[in-house]
Amino acid sequence: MSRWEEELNRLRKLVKAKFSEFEAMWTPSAPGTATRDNRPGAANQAGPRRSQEATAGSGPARGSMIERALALHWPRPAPDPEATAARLEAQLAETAALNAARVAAAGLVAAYRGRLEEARSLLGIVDGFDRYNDAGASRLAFQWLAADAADRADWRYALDLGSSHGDQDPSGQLRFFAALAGWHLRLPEQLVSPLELRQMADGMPDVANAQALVTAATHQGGPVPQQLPHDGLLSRAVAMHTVVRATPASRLQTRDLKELAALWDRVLRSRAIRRHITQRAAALGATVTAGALLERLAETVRSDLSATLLSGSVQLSEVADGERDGILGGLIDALEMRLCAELDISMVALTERLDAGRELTLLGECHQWLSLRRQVDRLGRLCGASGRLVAFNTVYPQVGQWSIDLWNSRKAHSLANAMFRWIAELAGGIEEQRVAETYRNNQEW
Amino acid sequence: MSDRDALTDNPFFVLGLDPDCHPMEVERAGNTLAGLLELGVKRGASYTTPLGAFERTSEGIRQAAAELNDPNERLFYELWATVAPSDARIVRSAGPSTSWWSNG
Amino acid sequence: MTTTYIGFDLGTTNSAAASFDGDTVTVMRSSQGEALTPSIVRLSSSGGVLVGQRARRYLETDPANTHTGFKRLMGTGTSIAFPAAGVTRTPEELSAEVLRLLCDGVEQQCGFRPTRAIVTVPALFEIPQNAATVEAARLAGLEQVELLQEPVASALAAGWTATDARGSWLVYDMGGGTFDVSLLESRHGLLRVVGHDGDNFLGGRDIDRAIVDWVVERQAAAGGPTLDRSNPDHEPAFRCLSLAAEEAKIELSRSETAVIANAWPIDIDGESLEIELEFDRKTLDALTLPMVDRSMDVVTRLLHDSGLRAEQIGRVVLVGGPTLMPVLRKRLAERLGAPIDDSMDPMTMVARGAALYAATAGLAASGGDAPRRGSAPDSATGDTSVTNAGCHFFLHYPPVTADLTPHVVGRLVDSDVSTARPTEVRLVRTDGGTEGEYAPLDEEGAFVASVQLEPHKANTFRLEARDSRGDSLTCEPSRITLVHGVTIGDPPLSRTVGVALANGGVREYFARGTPLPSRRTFVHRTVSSVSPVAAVGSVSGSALRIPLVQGEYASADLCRLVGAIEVDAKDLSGPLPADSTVEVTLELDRGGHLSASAFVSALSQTFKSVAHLMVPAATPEVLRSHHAELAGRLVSLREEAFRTGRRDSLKGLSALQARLDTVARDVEAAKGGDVDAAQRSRRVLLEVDSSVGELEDEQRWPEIEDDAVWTAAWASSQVASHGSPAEQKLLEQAIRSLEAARQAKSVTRLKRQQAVVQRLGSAAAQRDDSTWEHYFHNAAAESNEASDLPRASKLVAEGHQALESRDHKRLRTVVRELWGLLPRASSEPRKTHGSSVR
Repeated sequence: MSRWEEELNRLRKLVKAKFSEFEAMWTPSAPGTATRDNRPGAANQAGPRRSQEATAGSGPARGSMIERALALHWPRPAPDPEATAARLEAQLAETAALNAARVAAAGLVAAYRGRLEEARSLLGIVDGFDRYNDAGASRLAFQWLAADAADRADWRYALDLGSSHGDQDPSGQLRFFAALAGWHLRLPEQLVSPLELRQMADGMPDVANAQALVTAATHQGGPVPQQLPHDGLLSRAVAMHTVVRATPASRLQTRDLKELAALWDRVLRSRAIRRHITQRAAALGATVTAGALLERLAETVRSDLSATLLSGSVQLSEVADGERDGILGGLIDALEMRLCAELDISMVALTERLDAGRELTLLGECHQWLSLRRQVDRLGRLCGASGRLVAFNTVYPQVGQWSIDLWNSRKAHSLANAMFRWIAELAGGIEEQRVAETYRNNQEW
Repeated sequence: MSDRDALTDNPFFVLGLDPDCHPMEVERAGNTLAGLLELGVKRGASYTTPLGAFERTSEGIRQAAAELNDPNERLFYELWATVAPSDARIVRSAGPSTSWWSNG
Repeated sequence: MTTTYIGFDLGTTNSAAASFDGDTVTVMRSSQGEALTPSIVRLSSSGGVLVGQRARRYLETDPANTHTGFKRLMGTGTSIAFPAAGVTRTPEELSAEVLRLLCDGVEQQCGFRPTRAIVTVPALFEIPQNAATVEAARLAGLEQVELLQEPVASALAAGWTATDARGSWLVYDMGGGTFDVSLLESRHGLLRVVGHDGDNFLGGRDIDRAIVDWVVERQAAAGGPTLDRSNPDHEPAFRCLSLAAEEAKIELSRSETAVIANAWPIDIDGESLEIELEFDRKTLDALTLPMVDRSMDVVTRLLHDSGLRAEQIGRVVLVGGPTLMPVLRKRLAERLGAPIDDSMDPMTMVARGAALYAATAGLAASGGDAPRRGSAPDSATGDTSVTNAGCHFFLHYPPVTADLTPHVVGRLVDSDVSTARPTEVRLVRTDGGTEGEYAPLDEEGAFVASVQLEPHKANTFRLEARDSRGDSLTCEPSRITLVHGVTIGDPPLSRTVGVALANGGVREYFARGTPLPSRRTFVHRTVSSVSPVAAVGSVSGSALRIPLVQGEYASADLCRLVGAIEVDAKDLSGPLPADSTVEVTLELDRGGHLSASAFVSALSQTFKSVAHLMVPAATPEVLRSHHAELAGRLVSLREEAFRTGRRDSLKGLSALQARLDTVARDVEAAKGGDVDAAQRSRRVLLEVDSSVGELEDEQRWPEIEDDAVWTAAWASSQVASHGSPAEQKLLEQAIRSLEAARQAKSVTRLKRQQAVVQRLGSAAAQRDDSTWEHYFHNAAAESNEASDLPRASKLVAEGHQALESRDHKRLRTVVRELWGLLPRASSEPRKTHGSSVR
């Protein structure tokens, strides 16, 4: 056999080995194709309806779940809010038809219980959750999210909500929070005059301390430090590191991080600093080498920054898609490793559960999907295209199969639809057009 | 000891010492601060770092003393103590506390 | 009144007690008049307990009811049988008997029974073993006990008397059952443990065992009956021979020859066995050297890890009975080159150090005559408060310090209404030395005063206070004593403690070396949703499990499971969605005692129950199968090394094989009922497992790398031919990540990136009809493995037709259906100790 043939055989063998293992995921039982046949026809669907809200309130607070959940947040809630919340939780756990209003209700109950992260996730998917597009539930969700964003000083998100959905909110709350955000972020194009802002605040009877919020927005000086102390390279880097760490995650800009990382890169390359460490080690009787100590320094910097990045909303995809070198490159690599490993764990848990046929309540299924979604979003935000690729590769096709099972077996059409939409978006984002198309077609609208 | 925060757990800040202090000062500061803490004296209760003030604990004091007695650890933390705690000019802006619904 | 501090050395073979009064350390004689108490307990048929020297003689005549070496079984849950009395005792209970006898001795000599003390443990004792030691002390009537690692105690004892104790030194501690080596550094009177290492299962007993093996071999060669360790019936014979071997070994420390003879007749399979063998120093040396060399490997490893060379060691302190052997001393001197310090009795050094440490820790032996502790019971300081008259102060100062000008911190508790409020305080030497400066009281009534100490002695000071008019006030306490001497930092943790994660990894909480006590909290997230009402089809049992492990390995299954926080589904107050946060707090006290709690914020619930706080049992069957598995993996590794011509890795493989061979003997002995050998082999098997895993990864790397490179090349060609520009850009990115993973030599990362590249390549390839032809041929070739063979052959026929008619649409459908029938690669289950958090 000639060398050429050998190579060819090897390649064939490799391709075959890979494919038999890999392509197994694309079998006819895999998500995309099966749905078309298994999907219930439109004739079987119930006609459009407002919602099937259970009005079977057995306690004093009657009304739909969302109304009762909302009542938990009123200044003077209905008598015995604890009992109401517990009853709502029980009802939501058993619900066989999860729709936008019920997801919103679950979110409001979670918020009432102080489980804010859960509330954020749930209320974040209310808009367009089901085909009946419950405008009231969406509006309520956005209002809560905007108030919550203001609470966390996540002004960027508050601004986004205002600009995307302000029109749908006749109360003006979303626009008000967006206007506050404009002031907090000092964005010239977003600024309304302080007088207008005060007038807006007057019209916000539902927002606590609206005027105080205006005062804070228009007067606060911001967290920018006056001047970095000391002139030395190392102390400048440490000082800027301190500034970045002290900045609320929501206000951190990509450029701040890039600047800081460049400064650290200079520190790590500096011969003078290396010399200083060697001399100091000799004086102290330390056995560590300058190289090892600087590596530890770099590791600490990466670990500090990764904590900051994970909690914030900084977009790093642009950096991640370029050459990954220096502190920032290492940081993105490390984040990708970590986030992928975490996603792996979540997927193993999901797969094991689905394989074992352990069903959760619909709300429980929804939670597990939201948890995955958060992880996938974070990978894309921080690790760019390669993060999105790996994320998709990790969650698909199991999640696809899961969404279809939810549709077929549990008739959780709204939830499955939301998942289809998400999978289609994910696939589209990485040019996986065939999958994107299939899941777009799966959706009911 | 690698998961300790280089700034907020920095042993020089915890013990209130300069990066060029003598080893015996570490021993003394450790004992004195542990005493103040144990006797409930206010001035021993917290320490300042460039990221603000933090509560002092007996574990934190012991850990800090152990770290500064180890030359390798000490050298590492010296690098981070190049910014004095008094340079804590970075003020975290207090986020407005909104509650969604007005309290009337 | 003098304060007395007590320290106990609870040894495998011998135990000892010592006291310290601020000036002198005294080794306590037991109530039986000996400085050393053999760690032996006998229970007679009437239930009478004999301990120490009195029990020793029954080791020979009634070995079944007389036990020693139980320290090595602490925390293993083993029961020790006393057939005559018809009872069993735990190792903790037997250790408590020894401690009780030592307490009797202290009571006779000091006039009080100690209620607080330091008890020493080997540095490499694990959490369950430490917990068992604390339990033993509690059973012996000690109300408050702190554990101290043996090498730290020896170092303190040696450092206390050393006149020039600067630089690095090594404490080489070979006990009956354990070997510890510590590297210490002394500067300005501060002693610091730089690092320690050891072997929990290497000691004088292994030398005895080698001698016994030699005897058995000689005996068999002479045509006598064959003794077999794996035969439980031969166990009494081995015990008898062990005793004879130990005696001969001790005799050979002084003389050149000895005789090994059984003290009582041994019955082997109905045949009586009389042994009388000439044994000389040369033979003993030859048998001992492998053990010494094994210990030297540990020393070398420690020096390497600490970045030191042998010639940088200032001196070597020897501790433990076996270190009296001339061959050991000679070998050590040759290999280390440092002077050996033999100014102290190696047998009582640990107890002496423990007594000294009790003073540093402010742990006075009894409540009556000692400075009481202040508000924080854990503090290692002398806190004094008095409540009778005048100005009452709470004081805090180091009872023992290396600092010549330490601070005394005080706070006014309250002052007598009839007297004025003090504004200043000072401490004046009672021996007429210099008077200290007055220190002002602040608004909280607190002061910090500096005192000057005379070196290397106890310094007593009088407390003086005056009010704003300068009038003197009486103070309580009126005087305090500070001892100037060597002090030692907090004892470092010997083995890393962490939480096993759901992906088989470990979240490290306390790294090895963390000064104790310590406390850490980390946030984990749950990986599955759990509900108080068991969901459809779910298994009952614990809904949330957080395994606690000890060890330095990144992989949880190689670390020792030392406990777990387990939450039962029915105890949850509400449903817990996946991804919920769980705050886990682990707390270790000074002696390595672990407590844990988990706070589930979504439910506002805290769970504290820690299960399985025990060294896991090692059954001979499990050990044997683990051994066989490792032996098989080693064979594959060796074959691969030969095949690829990687001779460099063969040396490492031989070393692992040698360890495995040693384990084989222990596994056999475990079958014969030797619990100690079982534990030892379990530990070694885990260590070998980890090394084999590393070598496997290393060996597989070139292949994995090659594979990835080929995939990249293939995907590039596919995407170049059939892909869109956007896909090409994505592929470039993916290949860059693949390259980064290759540089970082990370297997998991490389495989993950390879899958991504593969996906991009196949997405492009699938637009090409010829790819499907290729798929079809491959699938058809494997169709004999299909789950439904008739259907598969029908599909293959259909596929051939489609190929002929060039109906590619049909061909695709056929291929997909065929794939559905072919087996899927199953993934290996993860070894996670059942963790449900990430």
